[in-house]
Amino acid sequence: MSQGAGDSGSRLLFLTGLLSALGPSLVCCIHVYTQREVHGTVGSHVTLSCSFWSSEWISEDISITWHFQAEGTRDSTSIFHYAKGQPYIDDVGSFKERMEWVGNPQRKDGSIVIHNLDYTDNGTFTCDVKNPPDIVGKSSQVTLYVFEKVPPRPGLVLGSIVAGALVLVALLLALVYLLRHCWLRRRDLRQRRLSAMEKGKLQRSAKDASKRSRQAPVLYAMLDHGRSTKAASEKKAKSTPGDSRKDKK
Amino acid sequence: MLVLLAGIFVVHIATVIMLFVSTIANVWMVGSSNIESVSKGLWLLCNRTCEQLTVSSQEEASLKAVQAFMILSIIFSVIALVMFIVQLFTLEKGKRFYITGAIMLVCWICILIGVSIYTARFTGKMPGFTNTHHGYCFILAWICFCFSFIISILYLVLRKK
Repeated sequence: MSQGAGDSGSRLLFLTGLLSALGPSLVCCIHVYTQREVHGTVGSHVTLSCSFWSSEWISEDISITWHFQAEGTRDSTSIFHYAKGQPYIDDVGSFKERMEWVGNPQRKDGSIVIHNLDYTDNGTFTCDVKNPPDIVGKSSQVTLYVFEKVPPRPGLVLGSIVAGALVLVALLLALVYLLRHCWLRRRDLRQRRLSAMEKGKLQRSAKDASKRSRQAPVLYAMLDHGRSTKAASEKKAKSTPGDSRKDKK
Repeated sequence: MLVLLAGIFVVHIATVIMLFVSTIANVWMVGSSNIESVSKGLWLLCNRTCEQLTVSSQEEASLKAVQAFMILSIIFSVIALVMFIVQLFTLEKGKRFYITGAIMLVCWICILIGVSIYTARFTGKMPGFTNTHHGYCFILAWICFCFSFIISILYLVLRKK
């Protein structure tokens, strides 16, 4: 009895442990997603995208904040705040008149666009979203790199050179084969014409020769034919009186 | 004749392997100082740890060209190997291995151009190191150059029995 109780007790403990492990993940944390790195060129604009996932419905109290930490410094300043359905853009700091709110909290998007990039914009941007009552969660960071011109992807130049050379060789091979094919066909045509002419000549000479020679065999055949019929009719007269064979002849 | 064909096949495989080793290992130029030795190749500069090879902007195009031509030579030598085996079974008696020989010739030209550019542009003293000399990859590349020429000529001359 006591063992059964112990068993059920341990089972209950296990279930509570499982629920407590799963439970928070079901109702916990707001998840924020941004890119890791963004590259931009001086003078152009760049979009810092921030999307989030919340287990609660998106309420009116949702707040989205962007912080900026310049490269080399340790303190971060707040540059954007969205609260109670109203975006508040930095209009006194370094991003004055350069920032644009393009997000839509109902669509779980909290992105901003920074125009007219400068080298001072190098640094880390942090996106923080709070959706009461869902307020626990990690914020996400994106690092902005500003270049004079965007560096090409590594291996792109090499890959394009190799691909171009291979395509060139393939084209050359195709050309060589085409030329060979045409040349062979022309040669075949010429040979056929030549052989046709020769055949024609041969045929004509053969026809003449056969004409001359055919008449003689015909005479011989008729002679043989006559001799054989005479012999056959004599035989027939001796054995049976039959006119049918003669008529047939 | 069969022995000759087998010999050429073995030399061809050796050429392919040597091309792979020469392109991938980073020992084209070697320098030594009193503490350690450094080696640099087409891709990395290896001291105690290997890091990306840095070149000035004028030499960047030449380095990219050398890399491209070595890769092309590897590709063509492997294609020639495959074509040789295909032609061995499909060619009629008495015909020559034209396609294989032609591809091997193209591979030879690629090696020639690649290694010539490297020899012209990148053989020089490495700053900070004495006793700068060529590494084994450089020598392997020139050996492959000779081998590929000999093999291509033999393919163009040999007849299938």
